[in-house]
Order: sequence, then structure tokens, then C-alpha cells
Amino acid sequence: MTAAKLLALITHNFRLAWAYKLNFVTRYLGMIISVLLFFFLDQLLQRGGAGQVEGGTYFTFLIIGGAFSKFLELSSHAFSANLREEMLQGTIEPLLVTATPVTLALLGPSSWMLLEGVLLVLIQLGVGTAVGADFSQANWGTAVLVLLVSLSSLISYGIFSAAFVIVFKRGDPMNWFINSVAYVFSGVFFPVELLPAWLRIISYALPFTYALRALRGALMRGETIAEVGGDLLVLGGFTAVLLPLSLFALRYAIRHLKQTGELAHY
Amino acid sequence: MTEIIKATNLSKTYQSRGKAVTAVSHINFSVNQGELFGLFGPNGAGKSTIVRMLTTLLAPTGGTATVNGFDVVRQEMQVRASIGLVTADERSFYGRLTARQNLQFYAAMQNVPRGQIPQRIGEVLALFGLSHKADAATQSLSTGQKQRLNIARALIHNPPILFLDEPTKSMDVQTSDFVKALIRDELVNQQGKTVVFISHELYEMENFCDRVIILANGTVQAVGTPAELGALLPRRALFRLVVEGNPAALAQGWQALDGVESVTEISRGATQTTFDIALADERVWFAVLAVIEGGNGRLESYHRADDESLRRIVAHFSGGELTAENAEDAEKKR
Ligand SMILES: Nc1ncnc2c1ncn2[C@@H]1O[C@H](COP(=O)(O)OP(=O)(O)OP(=O)(O)O)[C@@H](O)[C@H]1O
Ligand SMILES: [Mg+2]
Repeated sequence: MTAAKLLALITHNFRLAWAYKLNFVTRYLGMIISVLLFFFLDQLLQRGGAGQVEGGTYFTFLIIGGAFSKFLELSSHAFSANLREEMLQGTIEPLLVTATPVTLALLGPSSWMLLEGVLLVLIQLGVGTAVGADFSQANWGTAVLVLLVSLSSLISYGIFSAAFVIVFKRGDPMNWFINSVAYVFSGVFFPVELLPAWLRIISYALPFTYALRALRGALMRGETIAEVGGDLLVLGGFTAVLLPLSLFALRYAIRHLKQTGELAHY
Repeated sequence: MTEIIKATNLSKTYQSRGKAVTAVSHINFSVNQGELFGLFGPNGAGKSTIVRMLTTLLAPTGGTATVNGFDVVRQEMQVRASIGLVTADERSFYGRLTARQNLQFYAAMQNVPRGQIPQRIGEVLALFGLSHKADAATQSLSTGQKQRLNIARALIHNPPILFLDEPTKSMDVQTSDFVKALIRDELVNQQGKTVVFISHELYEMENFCDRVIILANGTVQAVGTPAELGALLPRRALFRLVVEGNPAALAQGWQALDGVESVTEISRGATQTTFDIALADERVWFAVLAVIEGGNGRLESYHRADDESLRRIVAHFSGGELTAENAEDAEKKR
């Protein structure tokens, strides 16, 4: 039953996204344009005489960072944005009164956006490869494992932000955190080693730093699971703490919702 | 008779910015299977709060309730599978999607088997006269059409119980009559569904509901058929009459009678005067007539000016008609 509902949620939200055609197209276009940006940034760097970053081209480095940042953006934003939209439209209440578990009704509307995120990332990697990103050394098995562990820790940020939206009924600080702090300190666009040591402390407090490092290790240098094991362990540790905490926050939010009954009244 | 809905000491106190607001207080009532049950009361009486607890959207702060035999707190999924809810919020559709696409989604979320969805959508759209709008974007529908689609959505999984929270709010009279006839004839009489109908309009319930519960300030004031509720009342009456004779003397004579609550002069012509007389018991009317005869007056015409409607019943049970002032009071209390 839940599988059937998930499928219904995905198709339905695909239809909704497709109904806004211009938005739909610009998302894919934007993904391709960012590949161009990375490409020319790399050209600039090469002209300056700099060649390799972390054992590969800067272009490859950026493509991986860009793809990962898409996950960052989605994890912090997808659940809360879709939930807010449903609340504004007044469609969340009819959904909550169906024979669907509350958690699925609240988070399910993001299913398509998350799936599309994976698609967009694959497209970026594909286009990137076509114009010269080098994944010839990649250890794909390690990469997929790193990605899975990273996503489970990323998703907890999304669950936190959904809980925030339910309780406070407005945009959440998680978005700001991800968009400003995470981008600069986790090594999306440049290696964190460039940061002065005292700022690098922030980097090491973020799970994304480990995720990106392991991901680049696997994709650029073909590192094995054993070689990225340390990063994986740290990531697993973040997940072990963040995921239960975020689920707890969501449970609290749902309880709050049932006490106040204020979801449609935005 | 099966009690398909049962509320026992059901209570709800909201915590709103540190203040406790008791919206529903120790309510007891039950609804029989196949009944068209009316929930009536002035604004803020607690009607929506009761329905939101019965539909699992709100957690009660006291008491219990069962719907279709399931506890609204411990068996919320079973409750939701048994019910449809319609609220007055007619915006609540995905505006860019068609009526059919909207219904497809809710059908799936209500566990309607895939194979049956198209047929079921066809049925509910036809029932509410919306077949020709099946492939129109819902944002292009009129308010009344959306409200009908709203009821169609609540019926998509063919639930035995339907909750309607002011469903006719934005419908014109014809549409509202059409929808009410559908509810009465098709859903209740034909299909045997149980319907809980909320309204703060009296005329909506009088020749429509089997039984009505009257709420005020979160408590039950009375329950019964509209006729039973009427019988509970003292036989108060209001007459408007036009008389010839000395107005001052007549008024004085009437006011001296036992059971005359008030005498109001409405207008005075050259020979005739119009009065409103409120009586505690309609039988006092004969004494009123005797005063006219005794004073050498002449009764030109008269009629009963009160309406024998639920309005009086409510005024009786909720301690006064809802006037502009006490409506304002009620607002302030929130
Ligand atoms: N979410 C809420 N938080 C705090 N107080 C609330 C909330 N919802 C309703 N109330 C209060 O509870 C009381 C009952 O409200 P309710 O909406 O149940 O009344 P109602 O009978 O449906 O009125 P109406 O005819 O205006 O729809 C009111 O005093 C209202 O202000
Ligand atoms: Mg209401």
C-alpha cells in the first residue's frame, strides 16, 4: 500500500512540476549552464598555471562539488518547501484526512523533487564527462556507498526543516545554514585546506566536508571503501546522531500540529 | 440502531499564546447509522473543533470518541478510511491540475484500487454534475463548482460517513438546494451513508436534518428532531395587529394582562394603529382580543409575526438571539 502511495505521490508531484513548464525547463537548463561555468573557471585556473586539485582537474573537482551542492540544496529545502506550498494551497488538510500515515502525508509531497534531484545530478555528471571531466579512475562502488551514507545524514537536515515549518509556519533557518555556511566551509568549490586552520574547525564540524572528501576520493582517485573508511565512519556517526534527533523533532511537530490544529491557517 | 459515531465527555482546550481557550467541554452525543445529523450553533460554538477531532485532525484534550467503531486517537487510520471531510475552504485543490487529476491523486491516497479509480471518478463527477469539467484545470472552476468537487473528493473512496463543515457556504440558493437534495436523497436515503452536517444557518437544517444538536459555548444545549426541539419550548408568540380605537388606552389595557411581555407601537395612521405584542403563551391572545372589545376598539387585521423556526429554539437554548453586540462580545472572548 505504501509503495502504491509513493508512486502516486511521485506521479502527482511530477505532474505539478510539469504544469509549471518554464520552471521545469530552467531547472535542467540551469544544471547545464553551471557545467559551463565550471568549465571556464577551470580554463582560467589553467591559464594561471595551476593544474591539479586533489589528484584531478579542477573541472572534475567542481563538477563533483556542484553535484553534491544540488544534494545539499535539496536536503535542506525540499521537504519544507513542498510542505509550505501544500499549506498555502490548502491541500495539506485533505491529504491529512486520507488513510495515509501522517509522516508520509507531510514528507511525501517532496518525493518527486528528491527524485528529480538525483536525475539532475546524473545529467550534470553526464554533461560534465562529455566536456572533459575525468572519471576514468573512479571507483563507482565506493562512490555509491558514500553517497548513500551522506544522503541519510543530509536527509535529517530536511526533516529538521520540515518540523520547523510545521511548528513555526515560516521558512526555516536550515536553509540559511546550508546556503551560507555549508557552501563555504565544506569544500564545494575549493579544498578546505585553503582555509586558515582556525576556520577549518567549522569544516570538520560539518558532515558535508567528509562526504565531499570521500566522494572526490572515490570519483577522482578511485579510492576503495577501506581507503575512505575513516570519512565513512565519521559520516555514519553524524547520521547516528542527527537522524534520530530529526525524527524526534518531526514527532514533536506532529504532536504540536494535533494539539493546535493550525496547519491550513497560514 | 447502531451508534456509528459516539462522543463521550469529548473536550478540547486550545493553548493559544499562553492562554487556554476551551472550545469544547465534556460533550456527549451519538449519531445513528444512516442518520443526517445536524451540528448547529453560533460562530465559535465549537462545531468545527468537534468535527476536526472526529476526523483525527485534532487531538482531544479530554474524553473519547469513536467513529465507525474506531477510536479517533488510537485507530486514526481506520477512522480516516471510514470518513470523508468537506470544509468550506474551496481553494483546496491543485489549481493547475484538472479535476480528474486531483481526484486521481486523492483516490490513490485513499487506497482506492488502481483499476477502480477511473470508474469511481466518473461516478462522483456525474453525481455532482461536474462530468463536463473533468478535464478543466480546477483553478478555472467557479467557487460553487469547486465546492461540489470538494464533496466529490470526500466521497472518492465511498466512505460510510461524511462530515460536511459548512459545505454550502459559497453556493447560490439553487446550487445549495441541489446539493442538499443530493445529500438527502442519494447519499443518505439511497446509499445509507451517515452524514454530519454543520451549519450556522437555521433554514439549512430545518427541513433537512433528522436530528439536530444545538451547541453554544462548547456545550450541548439540546438534541432532538427539529420538531422535538420546538415542543420543548414554552409557547411564546408574537402578533402584529392593526386596530382602530384609542391607542394609549389599548396599550395600557394589554400591558396590564398577565402573560403579555411587551407592547410596541409600530405606526399610527389617521384611524388605525399598528402594534407588535409579544406573549409568553399564545393562549393569552384571547385576553388581548377581549381588551379591544372592552375598549370599543375594532381589530382591523392581525398575523403571527414570529417564525416558528429553529431560530426561537436557539435563542431559547443559547440565552438570547445573536445580535450584533453579543456577536462582538463573542469575538472579543476569543
Ligand atoms: N486553532 C485554534 N487555536 C486556538 N483557538 C481556536 C482554534 N480554533 C478554534 N479556536 C477557538 O475555539 C472556539 C471554537 O471554534 P470553532 O472553530 O470550533 O467554532 P465553530 O462553531 O466552528 O464556529 P464558526 O461557525 O465560526 O465556524 C472559538 O472560540 C475559537 O476562537
Ligand atoms: Mg467552523
